[in-house]
Amino acid sequence: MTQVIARKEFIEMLRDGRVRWTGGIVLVLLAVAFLTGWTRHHELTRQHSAAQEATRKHWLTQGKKNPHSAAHYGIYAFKPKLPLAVLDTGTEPYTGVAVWLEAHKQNEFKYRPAQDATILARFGELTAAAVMQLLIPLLIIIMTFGAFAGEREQGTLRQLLSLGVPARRLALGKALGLLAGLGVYLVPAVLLGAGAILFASGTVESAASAPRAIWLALAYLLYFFTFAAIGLSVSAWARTPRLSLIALIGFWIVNCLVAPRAAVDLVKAVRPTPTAFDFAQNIAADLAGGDGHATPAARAKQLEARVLKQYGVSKLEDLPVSFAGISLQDGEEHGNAVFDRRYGELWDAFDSQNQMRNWIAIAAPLLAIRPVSMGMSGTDTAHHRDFATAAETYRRDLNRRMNDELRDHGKGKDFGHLVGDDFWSQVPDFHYIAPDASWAVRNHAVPFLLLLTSAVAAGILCYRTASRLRIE
Amino acid sequence: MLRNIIRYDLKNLLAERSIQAVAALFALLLAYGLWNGIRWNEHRRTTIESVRKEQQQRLAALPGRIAQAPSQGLPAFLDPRMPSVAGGREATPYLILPPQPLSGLSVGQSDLYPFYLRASTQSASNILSADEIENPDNLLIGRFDLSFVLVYLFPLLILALSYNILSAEKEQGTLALTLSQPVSLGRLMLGKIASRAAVLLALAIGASAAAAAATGAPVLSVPFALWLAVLLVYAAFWFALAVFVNLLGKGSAVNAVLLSAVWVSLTMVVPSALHMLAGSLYPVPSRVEMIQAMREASREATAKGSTLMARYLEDHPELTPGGSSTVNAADAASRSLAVQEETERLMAPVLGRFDRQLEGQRAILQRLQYLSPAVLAQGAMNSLAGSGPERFEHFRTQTVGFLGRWRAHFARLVLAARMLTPADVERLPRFVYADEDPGAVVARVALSWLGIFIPSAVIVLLSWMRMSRTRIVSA
Repeated sequence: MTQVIARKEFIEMLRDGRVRWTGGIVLVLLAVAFLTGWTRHHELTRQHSAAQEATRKHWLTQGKKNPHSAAHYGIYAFKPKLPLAVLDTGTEPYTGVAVWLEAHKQNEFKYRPAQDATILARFGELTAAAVMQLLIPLLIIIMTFGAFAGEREQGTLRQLLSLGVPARRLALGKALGLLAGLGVYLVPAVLLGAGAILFASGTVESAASAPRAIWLALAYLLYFFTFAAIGLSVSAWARTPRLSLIALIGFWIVNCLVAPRAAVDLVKAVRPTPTAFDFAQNIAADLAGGDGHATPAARAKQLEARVLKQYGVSKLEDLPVSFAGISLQDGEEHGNAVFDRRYGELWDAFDSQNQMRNWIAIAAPLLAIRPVSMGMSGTDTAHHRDFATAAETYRRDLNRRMNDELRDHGKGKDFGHLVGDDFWSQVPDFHYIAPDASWAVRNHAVPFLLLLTSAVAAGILCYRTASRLRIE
Repeated sequence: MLRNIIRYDLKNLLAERSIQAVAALFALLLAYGLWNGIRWNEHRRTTIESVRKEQQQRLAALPGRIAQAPSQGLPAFLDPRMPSVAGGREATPYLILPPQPLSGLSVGQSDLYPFYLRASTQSASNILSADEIENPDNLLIGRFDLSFVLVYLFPLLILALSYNILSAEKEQGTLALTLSQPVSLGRLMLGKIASRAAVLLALAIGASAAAAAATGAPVLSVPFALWLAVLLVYAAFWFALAVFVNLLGKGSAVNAVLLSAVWVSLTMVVPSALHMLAGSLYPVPSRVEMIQAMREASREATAKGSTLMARYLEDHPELTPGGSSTVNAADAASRSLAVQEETERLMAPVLGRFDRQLEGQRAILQRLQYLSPAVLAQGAMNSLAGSGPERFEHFRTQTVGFLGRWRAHFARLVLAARMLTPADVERLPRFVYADEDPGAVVARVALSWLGIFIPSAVIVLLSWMRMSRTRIVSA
């Protein structure tokens, strides 16, 4: 009997013009989003690898120079993209694409792609993720709002129940029919998406991101399930299809529109971040000794005394090494401590803003699926931070190598000490490997659990409302 | 008669619980948007204040430091008398884009572009790439400001109150009864729309006025009047759409589906599809390529080194030091000037490509924005709040001009091998932002307004033509 109900529901859904239209549009949009996502991904990946090669080449062929001049010349680090970024560009348009790794200071990422776009960018990017997060729930609403309420209004619900069909069976049948109907639209979409990713990045890279893709798919299934269960419950509860539709669209609006933006301003008010001006002022003050450490002049004195003692000599001229190299490295280390603290605070503030926003996901599942989707696609703030940290570690190593060279071989010449291309090639290339899927999942454990919780809660709600089905 | 309908309908509306809830919700959303706008405005104001304070303190102390410098024996790169040190760091002013009176009403693009920059003798493209610090997640989602409430949520509330103005009466069977009175269908609908508009517009206008007043903007001003005009025509569009859909003679649920679909298309799908279209037709190259080109250019310029100096002086005869002093071509400071100029010359075509592509995208937007009243309304509100891309472009142009003057000022000192004196601090170039021509803003907003008005008028006309054919009883 469940089968009969499911089949009826499925066929009705296929014949329903509203579902056909919405479903068709959603599919077309998904296809377009995949296609443009793929082209853009392809182009950006090409540019990134070309740029990474070029910056290395510039470094290797910079000619005869003092190591410290080379550190000032520095290199650029360009953030690579994971294959799944085809689906979800995430925060990429709003994080800079590159960072300059130079002597003395940790720089910020520059050039946010959204700055090179029109105001349309702020209406949202048409990515596969946006279609799945915003439009597929709408499709589900259109599929479900009349499931019970429609039969109730037409009076067929009374007939059905009078025939002795158990309400739970009816609900199960309808749910299965809905699932099949949704499958008609989602299965081609999933195949399309998998194809797009495979094409964008080749099989090896795609295979590496398979665990990420599986987690991603799981998260979206939970998200869709939540909407389907809520849709069925509201339809079972509402007296008329009109009321059911209005309630569901209301929920959709809160979920997709109101909650995310409201959360942004709320978390900003609760956990403010410094302005770029204050941030720079604080770092400058810390570097000048405002953080309780000695001032630069006093620090230089201490360093001098320490080095003289270490080498057992009484004058800098008697040192077997170049003091300039030691002093530069000391400056680097002082700076590094300051950068660690200030940038650490900033990233932590971003992180706690994001965590806070996660908890609001209890009321709006979009706030849970969005970070998970970005996290699995490698386009969230955590991945950005991971790359920034890797780049900064490389910068510090690079500077240390330059300063050590100056210290060990620059005796007597200091800034007149020149080295050539064979020395530059001793510095390893910057090579970044993105963290694996389990790291990304751990990062988003809270939204994942919230997705699961809301799916379970919506399932229970659906079961309970459907088993106490009112006829009128 | 019309007055009676409005009065009766208004009474009816105000007594209904669901309408009270919708109105209360709208008031709440507006208040939240208002509060966020006030906070944003305050944030900008205090930031600019502290930036100004830092500059003032630094510049006030500078003459004294310059006077003391000869006795301190500082290394050249720390000596504030050196033109390169003063022009690069010690004497540099901030270039400030002050908030406009209505800036609290629409954050727009202003969280994406810097509203203060620190001048220096560096290349302009380097200075302009400075960013304000912001959590990328927050930028991605966007702010809950008044314009968000008005562009996205206001239409939804309009549709929520009017998706069934006719269909409900038809379903209840009261429509035929009402129309048996001496009242036309057109007049009845007008009355119903007017009463709903009165409730929602009173709230929207009240919130806008409160926001303007709270951020210190004059309520009786041209920009605010235009703001209201945009608000009114945007509301008219959505009301007209609701009327038209009601006249199609379908049931309330169908109306709700249809209107939601139109809303989703116009506020979400069309804008992001246009964004994609503009990006595909005029792809802005990734800045990754620009960085690469910049490195190449500066390498090339550095390699040419001192040979550039002669050409530099040819290009700048006004900088050629007169009298007995000759330029020391080997002098690091003067050579770096020439190298920098050469780098910028080499970079100009690359940067031009970015500007041209972006220009192309804007041109497409100019033409295709008429497909979505939401895009038009948002654009107009951003323009009035001074948070649109045009004002930033305006600021950028002036910044580039000022930076050129700033660099030339110090180039003259460098080439003359002159050190700064305490009195020189007074004579440094100053930056004062000259705002956009108000006429240009009005023209832009007027075009957007027309872009919303014309389709609204067409829909009203179509509704009018449909009215006689509408069945007043359910089939």
